Amino acid sequence: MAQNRIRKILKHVRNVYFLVGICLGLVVFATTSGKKQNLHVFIQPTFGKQALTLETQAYRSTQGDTVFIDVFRFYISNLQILYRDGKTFSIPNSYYLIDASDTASCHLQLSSLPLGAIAGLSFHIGVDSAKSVSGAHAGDLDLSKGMYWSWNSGYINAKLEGRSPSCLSHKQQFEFHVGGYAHPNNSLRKAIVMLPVNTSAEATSRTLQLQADVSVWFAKRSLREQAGIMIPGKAAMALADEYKHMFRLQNDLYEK
Amino acid sequence: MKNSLKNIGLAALLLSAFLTLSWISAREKNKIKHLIQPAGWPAPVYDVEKNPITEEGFTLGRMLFYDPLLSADSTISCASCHLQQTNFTHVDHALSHGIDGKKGTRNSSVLVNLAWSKSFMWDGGINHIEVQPLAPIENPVEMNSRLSIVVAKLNASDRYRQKFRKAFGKKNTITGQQVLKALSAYLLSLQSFNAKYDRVMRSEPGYHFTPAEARGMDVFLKHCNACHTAPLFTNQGFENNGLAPDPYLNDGGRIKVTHQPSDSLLFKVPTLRNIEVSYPYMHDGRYKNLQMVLFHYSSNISNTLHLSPALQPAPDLTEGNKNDLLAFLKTLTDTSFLNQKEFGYPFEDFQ
Ligand code: HEC
Ligand code: HEC
Repeated sequence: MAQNRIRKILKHVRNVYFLVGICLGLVVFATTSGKKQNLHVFIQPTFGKQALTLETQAYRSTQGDTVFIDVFRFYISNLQILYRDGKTFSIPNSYYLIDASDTASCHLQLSSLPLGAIAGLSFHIGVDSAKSVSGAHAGDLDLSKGMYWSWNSGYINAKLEGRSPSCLSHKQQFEFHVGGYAHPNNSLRKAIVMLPVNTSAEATSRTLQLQADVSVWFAKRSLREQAGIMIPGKAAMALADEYKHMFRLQNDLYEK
Repeated sequence: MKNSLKNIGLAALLLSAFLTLSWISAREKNKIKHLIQPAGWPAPVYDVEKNPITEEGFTLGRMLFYDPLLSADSTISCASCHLQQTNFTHVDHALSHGIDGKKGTRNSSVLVNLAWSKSFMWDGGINHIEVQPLAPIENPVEMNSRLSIVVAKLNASDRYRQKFRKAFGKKNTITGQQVLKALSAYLLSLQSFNAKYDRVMRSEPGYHFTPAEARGMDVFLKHCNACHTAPLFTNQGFENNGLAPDPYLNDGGRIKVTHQPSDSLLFKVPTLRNIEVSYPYMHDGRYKNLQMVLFHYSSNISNTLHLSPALQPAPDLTEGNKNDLLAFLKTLTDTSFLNQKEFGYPFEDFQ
């Protein structure tokens, strides 16, 4: 009697597991069967059109300064894929620290994006205020990455350091640390990079090569007059307004 | 076929039972430590629901707090400047000494009831407790290190790797985030709410104010409570309490953070809990004892540009008022907190 009942219950349990299995299968099927595309974004640090060489290579700015670049790092966040049909797809929780001294950090691999012809990319340069006021985070936002001000909380959105004979500062160094998340000194900036209108190809896998051109940082400033920015404020915001134009599409490679 | 289905079902059953059990035991293991919200207190600012504090996180944070490994030459720990018996401030130092005996420009803060703080440091420059420890670790006159260096040192220690695994799960390498979360778990646990004042307010049997303490409380409510608001004894605001600016230190306080001229010479209103033991006083430690502080408020207020209206005119305090006020301030001393073993040097961790 009791045994019978147990057997009945067990049978129920087995049925439940069977159903759960089917459901799981369906979910897996649904997520893998809809076709997706993969996007590889390569952000290449350059000076003008030349790939950037840190420390040893002298470059000449449009203002006539000779510069060596030692550190070039910036955050990209809130990455969105723009499609030809006007739709957008936001990469969830996207915060990337791009570091010229770490090639791997310059390659973003985005898999399983919705199909469709990509028209461009939109992203923020820097870290938004929500992440700036909510404590210690992981991954590229980890405070050990050295992109955070310790005495006055907030991420450094972008950092450029180097040397120039034009600098009147100690050891002829220049340091631009741009940050500030709070009104009225918010230096978070949006950048949009569009593909040429005639490339409408849909692809299953695509590589977009962008250049992040350091020379743009110097286009309007003479290092003799200004060799550093270390705090949020007007100067930081002005520089952010300039460097948000440093991104350029260099190459678009795709497979149908 | 039928048999193999049955087997799969059975395996799934066993697997899920195992998962449930291990989930339960994991939860058991990382016991959540709750902040206590004493009756009549506002809700804490720190959201423990989002960022649970675990027992393991707390003990790990305590070990880090007492470990000089955090400084460049392994000579200075957090506790060097924040001693439990003095309400976690630097005992008897006006300006804190750090590495190589280098002097900072400010008196070290007390560390108490930090879960209720909206901002940290005398100028409020730090917006979240979890990011606070970065400041002393990387300050050249305090520990003069880098968080990345601390993380590397910890990763080289078997003992620490084991402790971090216990607190944060199986991940193999220790991260900066984990170091900061552990330290803040300890800092947040430093709660003081069992002073005589609290016991009298809770009408605990056997606890009564003396007549002097009771009169002192009246004086306090009249002249001090606007800024040092009970029960936290701070309103978390930024005020100028009439200290004459020190031309040598040239510390503008809040203006350093906001760059607003109207914030010049404003400093965060400090809590007065355990004030009896956390001398010297003020952001630059200029007053050695409470008598001097009371003399300041009654007779020495500088008419600085942004002097708070609450101190205009200066409190009219007779000698009798001051003695009563002093008696009342001493009822804020919570000896159980100052001697609580759980917060002290963890000998077992450093054997
Ligand atoms: C060399 C002395 C020194 C060391 C070492 C030190 N501190 Fe401090 N601490 C200070 C001083 C001074 C202040 C006030 C700083 C200010 O306002 O600019 C302070 C402030 C704080 C505050 C802010 C409290 C509040 O209410 O605003 C916290 C939290 C803190 N320290 C925690 C720590 C931790 C954690 C460590 C170890 C990682 C540490 N401190 C190491 C001297 C020190
Ligand atoms: C206008 C707001 C205000 C009022 C009113 C006020 N204080 Fe203060 N108090 C402050 C501020 C701000 C500080 C920190 C000042 C600094 O260091 O620059 C402070 C500091 C102190 C300190 C030193 C605390 C420490 O940790 O160093 C004590 C003690 C103190 N006040 C006691 C009192 C007493 C007693 C009264 C009433 C007679 C009083 N205060 C009234 C704003 C106020």
